[in-house]
Amino acid sequence: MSDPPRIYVVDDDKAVLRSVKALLGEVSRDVRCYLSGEQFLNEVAIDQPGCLVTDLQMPGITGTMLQQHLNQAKSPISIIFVTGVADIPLAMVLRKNGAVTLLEKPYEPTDLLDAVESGLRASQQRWQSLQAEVY
Amino acid sequence: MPSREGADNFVRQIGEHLLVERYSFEGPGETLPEGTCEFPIEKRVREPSHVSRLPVWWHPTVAGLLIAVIAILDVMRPSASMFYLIPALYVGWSMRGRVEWTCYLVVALTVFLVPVLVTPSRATQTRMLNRALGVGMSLLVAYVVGDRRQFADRLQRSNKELAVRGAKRAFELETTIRFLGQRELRLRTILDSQPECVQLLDSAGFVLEMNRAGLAMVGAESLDQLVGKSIYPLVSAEFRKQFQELTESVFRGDPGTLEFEIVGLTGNRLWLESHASPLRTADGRITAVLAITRDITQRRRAVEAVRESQQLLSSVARALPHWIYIFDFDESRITYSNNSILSDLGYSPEIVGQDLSWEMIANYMTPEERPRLARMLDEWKVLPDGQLREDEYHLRHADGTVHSFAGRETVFARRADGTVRQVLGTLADITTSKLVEAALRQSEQQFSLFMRHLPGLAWIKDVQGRYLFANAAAEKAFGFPLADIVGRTDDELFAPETAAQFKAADQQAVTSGSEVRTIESLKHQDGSLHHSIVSKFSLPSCVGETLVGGMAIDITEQKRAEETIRRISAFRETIVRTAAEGICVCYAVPEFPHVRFSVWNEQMTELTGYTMEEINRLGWYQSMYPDGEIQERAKSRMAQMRYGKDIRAEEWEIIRKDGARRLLAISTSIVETEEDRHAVVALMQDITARKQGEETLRESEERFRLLFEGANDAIFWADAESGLLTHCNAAAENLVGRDRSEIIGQPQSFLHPPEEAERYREIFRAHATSRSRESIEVEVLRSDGRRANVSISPSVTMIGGQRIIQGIFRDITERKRSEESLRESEERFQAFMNQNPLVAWVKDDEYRYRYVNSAFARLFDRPLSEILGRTDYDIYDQQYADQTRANDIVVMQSEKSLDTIEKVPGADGRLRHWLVQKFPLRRSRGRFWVGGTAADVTDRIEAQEALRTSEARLQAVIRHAPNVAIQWYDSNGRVILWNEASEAVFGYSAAEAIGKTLDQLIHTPEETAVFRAALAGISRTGKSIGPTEYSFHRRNGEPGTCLSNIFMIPGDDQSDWFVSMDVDVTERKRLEADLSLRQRELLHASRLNAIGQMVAGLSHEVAQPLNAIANFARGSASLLNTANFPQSETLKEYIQAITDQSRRCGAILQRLRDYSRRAPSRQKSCELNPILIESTELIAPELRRNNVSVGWELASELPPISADRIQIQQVVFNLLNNALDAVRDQERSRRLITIRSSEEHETVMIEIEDHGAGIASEVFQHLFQPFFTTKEDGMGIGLNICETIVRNHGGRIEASSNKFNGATFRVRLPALQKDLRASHLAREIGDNE
Repeated sequence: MSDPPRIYVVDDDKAVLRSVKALLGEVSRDVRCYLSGEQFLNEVAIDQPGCLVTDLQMPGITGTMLQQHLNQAKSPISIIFVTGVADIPLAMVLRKNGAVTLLEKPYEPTDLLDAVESGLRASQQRWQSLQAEVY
Repeated sequence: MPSREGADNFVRQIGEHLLVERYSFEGPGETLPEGTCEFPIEKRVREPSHVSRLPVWWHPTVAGLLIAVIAILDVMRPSASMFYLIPALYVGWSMRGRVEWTCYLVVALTVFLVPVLVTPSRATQTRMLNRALGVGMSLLVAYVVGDRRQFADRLQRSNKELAVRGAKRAFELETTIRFLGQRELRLRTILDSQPECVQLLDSAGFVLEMNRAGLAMVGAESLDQLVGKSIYPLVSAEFRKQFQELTESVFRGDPGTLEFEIVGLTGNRLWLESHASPLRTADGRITAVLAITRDITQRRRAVEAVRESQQLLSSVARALPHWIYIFDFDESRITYSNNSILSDLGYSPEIVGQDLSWEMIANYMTPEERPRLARMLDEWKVLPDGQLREDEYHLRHADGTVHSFAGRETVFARRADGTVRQVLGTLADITTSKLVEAALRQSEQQFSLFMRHLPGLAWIKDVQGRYLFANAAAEKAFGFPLADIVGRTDDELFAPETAAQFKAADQQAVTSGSEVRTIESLKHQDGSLHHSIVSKFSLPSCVGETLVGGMAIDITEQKRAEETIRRISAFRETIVRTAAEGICVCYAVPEFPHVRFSVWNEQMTELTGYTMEEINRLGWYQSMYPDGEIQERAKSRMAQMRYGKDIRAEEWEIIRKDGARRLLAISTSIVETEEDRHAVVALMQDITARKQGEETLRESEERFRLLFEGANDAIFWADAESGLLTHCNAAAENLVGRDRSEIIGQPQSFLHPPEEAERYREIFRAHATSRSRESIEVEVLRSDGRRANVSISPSVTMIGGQRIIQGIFRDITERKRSEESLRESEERFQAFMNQNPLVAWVKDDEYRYRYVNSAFARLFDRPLSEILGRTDYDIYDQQYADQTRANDIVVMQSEKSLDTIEKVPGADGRLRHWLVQKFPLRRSRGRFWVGGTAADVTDRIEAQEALRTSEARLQAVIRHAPNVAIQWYDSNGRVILWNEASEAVFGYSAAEAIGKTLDQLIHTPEETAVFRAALAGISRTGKSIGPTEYSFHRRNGEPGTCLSNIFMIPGDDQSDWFVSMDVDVTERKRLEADLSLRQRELLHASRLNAIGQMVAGLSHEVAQPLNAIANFARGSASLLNTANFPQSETLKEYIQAITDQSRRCGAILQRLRDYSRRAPSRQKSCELNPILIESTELIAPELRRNNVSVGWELASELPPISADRIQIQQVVFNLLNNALDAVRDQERSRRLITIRSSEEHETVMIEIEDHGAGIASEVFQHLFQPFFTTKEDGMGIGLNICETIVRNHGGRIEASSNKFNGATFRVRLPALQKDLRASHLAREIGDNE
């Protein structure tokens, strides 16, 4: 694999965004940050594998909406949700829709690292199986 | 019809009336054959009107015929007596009663006993008796059979068919009877146990059946007393007809009910209620009335009693002057009203007649009152039972005036659930009483003012003698502060004798009911005894008891003067009485004896031998001058005297009582007495002896002549009348240098320089008329033209009936010369005295003016001659003369000088005050004259008087200033004055406070220092201080605060006075402090509450940076692990980010802590925009969570405001929170809040505009009321808090709808004025230090 795995981070808080990037530098060199869901959708090719770390509550397109969009587009991208306020029903909905992890702020940096790694793996597999379907 | 059904029917009918348990009856075991009894009940039915269908006579006739036939057979064939059974059996069978039986007996006995009596044969008799025995036996049989038959027959008779069936069915009947008997017994038991009367009546009202309860009602002991009798007589006469109608209607088939009264058998009266229904047979015939009757006497009585009391109440209510009404909440109107209040209020009957709905009533209330109405109804709804609510209402009278009503309400009825349904209220018109009250209050005030400002003493006591009121003058005179006087009696205040004196007068005033004037004496505090004219009068008081009012005017001075005068006149009296000369005062009277004496001293009695009474009775002229001619002369002399010709030592011979002649020298003068009468004062001297001596004297005259001739001094005699010189001696010839012949016969003026002849004539005349023996100094003209100064000692003598003036001339030329220098100095003195504005005078020992200076003369605008030689009595009215004379006497007697004030009217009649100094002038022979000087001090005295009045007024104001404690202090801080309000505020009475300094009274050392500093400040600058708050401690130790104005009254000699006027604000301060504390608590609680609501958002807000920090830290760690130094820039960046994020975290917490801090309210100068931003940051997480956008339109240059930062934040926060709630549920495009700031007319404005659903119009007016909310979980205090805070900052808050259909809240706060900014800044710096 020549390309480093792609990690996308969406958060409306710039500081958080930067901090996540600093943290995930350990996993990949290709960590891309977006301040809103719109920016993410505009700039990212979602048919490629990757892992998305996104805040749930954001002005404009929220985390949930991003998940719906990716699911509809059958994107291989795994999603890790980060939220200030986690509640169980929401977690269930998200998981049913294929989310890997829901982390509640403040989370242990290791948890996010683990989640991203497993997310990337899952994404890779999904992408491969999607490729198999296509061909 | 089966009998069972009939019985059941009966039971059912009874059951319907009585609601008894329903019994089912079973027969005694055997089944009754059908048709045995159609209607068993009828066995009890009797028909009193029933008669036998066969005529009564039938049975005895048949029996008699049978007996007759048998008797004939018996006679023909003896021993057939058994056949008598045949008629007996017949009788027994057919017998209906005793009638038939008796008929049979009579017939049978007649048949057998008549032959016994008429037949003499014994055998026949025996046989007949045997027959009779047989008949008797047969009768016995007949009775037995008949009785049984009779019973069966009765049953049979009620049923035709049964009757004809006869004995054939006897057995069946027996069975039925037994069965029914049992059933009847049961029913009877049930009936008898009923508490109500159950009775059966037939159509004519006869009682068929009645249970035990019924019997008890009518007072019967058993049914037999009633059965077969009509019930009607028992029913009271007035109900009898109704009862009969009821019975009849029931027989027609209509049941009915009647209430009626009965009179029982024992005479008892009862009220009964009967439900009557028809009792039907099986075929529907009505045979009887079943009546169930209840005793309703108790109920009836209760109803009667209630009705009576209701009638009574309603008539009382109608007669009451108050309006009594019942308000019904169900109907929302007045359902009862005793009379219409509206007619009392003067509205026309058309209006009054209308329905009194509550809205109508409201129309008659005053506009201000109406809003209260709803509140009042709400209060009524929660009134507890038995509690009266009292209120005052104001209703409009038709004439436009407003009447006051005292209203009282209480709960009248409640609904089943306990809520109030009806309220009973009364309204009483108290307008008049209120007016009267006000008028009374005013009058009381006027009275009190009047009393207080009386210059004299004034007080009021109640009947027990306790003082209720005393004015300032009385307080001073009594020597007690008012507080100590009020409530005390005279006994407690004064010495016993003083109190007794006061009480006696009080008693007199109360009993007489009119004014009593007395003179009372009271020892004042300074020990001086004061006398007052006291006027005491009874005063009516409102409680019906009599009060005693008193007013007193101090007359001590007057008393003292009177005393002096009394002493003077006593002195005079004594002189007159004991004089060596006869002194009398007489006046002319028109009638006999023409002259009457009022004074007649002892010497007069000695001279004349008559007492005054005798002389007044006998007459002076008549007894003294018996000789008619002399008498006339005396009378005419008297008449002349009245025109001014006083008698001067004239000699009159009188005849004494003892007849002796006496020669009297009489001198008289006219005096005016008080009664404006001219009285004559006469002095009489017995000169009889002298006259006799004169003769002797004349004899020695020759001897004197020698002496006369040889005298060293020149002696001239001159005729007193003509002034011609009659004699002179040798020395006289030498003196004038002329021969005696030249001198004799010349007028006396010849001796003196001719240019002054007139003067000398005057002097001579003066000497001739007066008896003055003063020596005079004159110039004598000698023949050689020289003039000699001589001193003349004049004397008047009678020589040979001629009045001669003898002048002894002594040459004093030498002496004169030496005297000249003396006179010059005397003239200088005179000039000095006359130029002096001081009034000066000298009076001789007879109080005649001997010298007055020109100021004196000017004063009275009279020439000197009119003053000199006169006394004060000639110049002044008596009262003033008495006063000056009294002082003169004091000087004379004490021989010491006297300074005093005398009041004397001046020439213009105005009373003037003189500061008089009187001093004794020693004269020869131990005599004293009185000298005096006087300065007019009227202006000063009047000024003093005016000052005193003004001071009294001031005192009155100070004393009565309501609630303003006023104190005066001297320059040492000692209390000089302490008014009533001060007593009330500080707890010390004036008596306690005066003379002390405040640290001895109400100040702690610190407070004293503050107060002293204040006084020193005033003293230095002369400016007043205040209103400033000072703390103090009351007498009981309670701390207090007063708001004081202190100012200075500059004194004349460095002794300034300070006046402090205080209002006690302790309570107000406490309340303010309390209120502000509570308000702060509320604000704080509200802030905490808001924070609680936002905890989720805030935790997110904190979690965010914390998370970032953790991430950066881990990132940094991983960088370090790689040990890749070229990445140290990145590491630095991460660490910087960690620092920033922890700061961010800290800032959030800081904000939160600030906001939730319980800080005392403190306004500082601050900028508005940062406050807006900070407040928004607090709520920002919530806004973000709800996707609400905030638009900012902040003015760039706003003036600062003076505000409590946290509180303004709270306002903005609350408004933003409301805006958030308003837009939360809107579609996303409308979730917009705009925050604006701007400046406008010295105010700074905040606007919070939302795009929510807006505020409903009916909500606007309640918007800022506490506990008003439209939110489901809201408490309704947010906007109220905003309003409170903004108001405390001197600003305004308002809400309006905006063009986006949302709401806009505007807060205006006053901008800090430029000149205040600096001082605020300074204070803040100070605070920070």
